Amino acid sequence: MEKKISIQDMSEFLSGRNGMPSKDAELFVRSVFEIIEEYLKKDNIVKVKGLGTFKLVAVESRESVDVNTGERILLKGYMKVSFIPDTVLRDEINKPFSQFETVALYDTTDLSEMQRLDGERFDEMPDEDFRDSEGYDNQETEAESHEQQKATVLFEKDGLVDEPVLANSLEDEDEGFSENVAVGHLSSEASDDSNILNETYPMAETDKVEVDLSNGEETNVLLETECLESQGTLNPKNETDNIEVNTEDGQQVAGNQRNEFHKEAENVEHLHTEYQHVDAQQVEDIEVGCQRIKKQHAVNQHIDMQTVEHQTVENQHIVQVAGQTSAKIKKNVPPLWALVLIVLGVLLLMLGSYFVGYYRLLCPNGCETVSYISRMEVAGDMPVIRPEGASQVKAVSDTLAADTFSIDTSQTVKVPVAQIAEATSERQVEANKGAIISKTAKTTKRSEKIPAKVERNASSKINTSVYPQLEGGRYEIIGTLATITLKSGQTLRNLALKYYGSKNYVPYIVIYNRIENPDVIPVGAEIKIPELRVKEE
Amino acid sequence: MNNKEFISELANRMGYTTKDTISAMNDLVAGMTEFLVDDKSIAIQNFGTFEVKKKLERVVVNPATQQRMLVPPKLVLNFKASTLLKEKMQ
Repeated sequence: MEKKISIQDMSEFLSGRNGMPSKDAELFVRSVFEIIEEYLKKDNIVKVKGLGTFKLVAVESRESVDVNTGERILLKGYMKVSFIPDTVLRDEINKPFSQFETVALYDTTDLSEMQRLDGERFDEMPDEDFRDSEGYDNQETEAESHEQQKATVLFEKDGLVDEPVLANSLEDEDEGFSENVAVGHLSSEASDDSNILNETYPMAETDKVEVDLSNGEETNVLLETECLESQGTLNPKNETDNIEVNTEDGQQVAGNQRNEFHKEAENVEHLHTEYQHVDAQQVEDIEVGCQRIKKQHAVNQHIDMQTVEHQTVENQHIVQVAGQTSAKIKKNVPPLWALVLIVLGVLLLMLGSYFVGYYRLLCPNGCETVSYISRMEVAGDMPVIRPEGASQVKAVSDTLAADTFSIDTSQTVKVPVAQIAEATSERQVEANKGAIISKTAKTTKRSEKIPAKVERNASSKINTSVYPQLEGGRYEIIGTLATITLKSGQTLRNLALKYYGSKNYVPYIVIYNRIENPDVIPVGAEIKIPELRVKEE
Repeated sequence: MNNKEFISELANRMGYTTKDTISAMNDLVAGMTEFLVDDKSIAIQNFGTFEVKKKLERVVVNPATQQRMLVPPKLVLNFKASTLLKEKMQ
């Protein structure tokens, strides 16, 4: 307060404004307060329009304890003057803070942080926005870090990093987050996955022939098939599709192989270079490559095309990543090759989505399984159920591998075994993917958790409390009156004025739409106008 | 005593018409509001002090639902009766 205003100041102001002589003005002001005093004594209540109500309240006598002596003393009752300012005056005075409303707090809001920040801010600039925007910020930050972690995990998966160390460090980071079960689950699975991958490789290393079969098999066969196709011996109807799939798959396997073969260079070095060669030369050299592979491996089989396609569909992302990785690794790749790869990738994606749709909608076999999984995905169910779905997927791929086994009679027994092993690792990767999907679903759920919680709390009572209610308001929200899309120039005040006849109803709209910052609402936002009813009490 | 009685009593004492009294009273209240909004306190001798006080934001708990609410900061008009007035009122 800069200055104390006395009766003289007020009478000066009054005479200046009203034009009455200053003497009269002073008399007027004096008599105003005299009358108030007089009638306060007489009637115990004086109402002055625009100023407020003066009341005389009786305070009853009460007992207390003397602070110094500890004796019980009787405090006498007295009359207390209470003053309740007029609504108009009160609102006028509170105008600088009028945009604030009472906000409900939830358990997730970090209060300690908020209070600290508020304290600082309050000291600095008292007219600032004190509201708990910090609380929302916290949540956002958390969500962001969730995102980051998810990204890390995704990256890990895509890059097929087979070091559990990374997964472990990720887990360590996760320990700070109590709700972060999904991520921990995921990372543990990632480490599982990498372990299994590691297990698969040594197995391949032990036996050279088996290595050839398990890793080289598919590529060779595929390239061969391609070879045959390019020579026009295969059914022309399936030609395009099969070529795409095979090439992609071959590249994938080749890419995987390259990584593995670096470790066991001596045995498979020539094979490795050959695959590189095949990769690099692509279409032109494909026949040569085919012949060489033929020469090297006497065992040639017809791979069931469907198996390959299924696997490809299931692992299309991985295929692409592998393809891209191999493209990056090699330096002497002609741009035409990359272009062809991209085109093939797109076509493969289309094919993949076709198959996904085919299995979702028509479900020729294993209808239960697929619909169950898709339902789970749609509903964003708990990750706990997820492994069950993954095991069912495993069953499918295992059946497919078994199919291959029954068809390829000329093959040795080792081939399908190796394929099953491969399918297992693929299934692991897929399960991983599934976990990520459910994780995403969980993240989405989490962001909706707070409103959902409110609804759950409220719905235990009466029907109207399904909707968020304004605390202390005269009306309760019982439904949606209208839904409008916010246009430029429209404000919540305008809307309240239009639908309720007064802009005082803005808080109901704010509460009902859970608008965090009523001052900034983007154009085009959907605003639900709540239907109001006087509270029954 | 309501506003009507107050105005008539005031008009009676001052010897003004009711209309004039109302307009003068409106001007007085407007002036007081203006002062108070400017963060100035109004001290009337032997009556009391009108003062604007800032209430900090606070967290309240609804005892029925255990719902915590953050009440925003606000400016409120406070009236403190002078000792003389208090004594007179006993």
